[in-house]
Amino acid sequence: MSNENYYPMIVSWELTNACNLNCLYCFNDSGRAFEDELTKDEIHGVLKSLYDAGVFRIEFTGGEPMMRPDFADIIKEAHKMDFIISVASNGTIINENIASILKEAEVAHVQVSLDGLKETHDYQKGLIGAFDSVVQGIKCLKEHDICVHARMTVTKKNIREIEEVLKLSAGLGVDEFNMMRVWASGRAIDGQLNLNSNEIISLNSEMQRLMELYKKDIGIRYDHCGFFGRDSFQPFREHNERLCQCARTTCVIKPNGIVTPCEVLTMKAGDLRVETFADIWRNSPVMEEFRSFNPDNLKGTCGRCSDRNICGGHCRALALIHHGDFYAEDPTCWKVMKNKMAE
Amino acid sequence: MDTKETIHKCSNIKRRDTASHLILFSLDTGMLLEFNSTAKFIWDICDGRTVEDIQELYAQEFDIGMDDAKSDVEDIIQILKTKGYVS
Repeated sequence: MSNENYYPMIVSWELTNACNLNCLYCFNDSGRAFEDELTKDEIHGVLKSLYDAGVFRIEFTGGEPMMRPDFADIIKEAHKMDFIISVASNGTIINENIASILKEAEVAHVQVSLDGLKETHDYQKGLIGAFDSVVQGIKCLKEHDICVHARMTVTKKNIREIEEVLKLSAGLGVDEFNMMRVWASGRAIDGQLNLNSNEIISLNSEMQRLMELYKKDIGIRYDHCGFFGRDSFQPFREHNERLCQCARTTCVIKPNGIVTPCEVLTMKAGDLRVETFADIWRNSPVMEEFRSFNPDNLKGTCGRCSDRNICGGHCRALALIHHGDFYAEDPTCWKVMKNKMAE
Repeated sequence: MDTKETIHKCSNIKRRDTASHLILFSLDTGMLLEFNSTAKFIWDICDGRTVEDIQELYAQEFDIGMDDAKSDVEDIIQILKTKGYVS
């Protein structure tokens, strides 16, 4: 397939590396802002570059995107340029003013982190009081009738609290509960928080149960956990399309304007300070490498797996991080773990 | 197709114009639709005109006979209706 066939529908834009929390699993190791982050004027130029390339949707993320003093101006500008906007935030610094701006900008949704009940959430987020702040933030967003998604990053620590967090979310009026397993990268690269194979299998069953029980109360989405039988995966099967859309319909802009296909690992596809987004999207060899990925070349358990076309070996960035090989097996898949135990 | 029927763009549609194509994105379905220049012309005049009016304007714009214009316009409008871009 030529590069003309890949359309940049959605861009995830890390506005800053600054963050007021210290999450145990942050794949960006966020905390302090980078010294070379894009200025407000440069951001205006990048927005234009994205528009000219035909991008429809921008997800502003970070770090904590609301830490930027010019966050409101950026949101207003993106709205004025007719982008569909969503924001991924830790939810702790949302106030009346920010909620009003988000409402005026007609944001599609705001995703906030909700990792557990008070003690667990504060532990995983690295700040006492983070839970109370995010609950306040959610209430504020809902008072402004803004669509809220609650993201729960599931680890060994909070796996038994999923139902409680789901009920809490529904009670707060959250529109969608979104469960993801912890990503074994950044601060979580040592694997201490990772789920083992039996936990992942149980997690999948538990999410199926919770979906049936609570789907009338709240939208529920959860990661595939290495199981692909759900109806929502059918379109991918029909079109022989893999789930990971990095460099195919999405990519990431880092705070300093570097474009990378994937948020988990920065592989420089281009620099928006010196190139247009359209040039990077169409011509970057890094983008091309992602697009030419062939699941039939996967190695180990992933190479033998009957789900390799839709799964695509899950996250290729994780394979690179842990094995230094784009085609190595995914170390976080339950099937890979089971096979390792059997060896 | 009833040629007296008026055709309106649905709300919740975003558009982007690239050098050679028009891309429409439906916020309701999350689907993209890519148009060439002739289909783009039809889309742009789906503003409450009748199918008949659209066919006439299309025939004038591209200097083709009415039979061809009718067929092209009905095909495009049918696609737009099926995919929820016009009503």
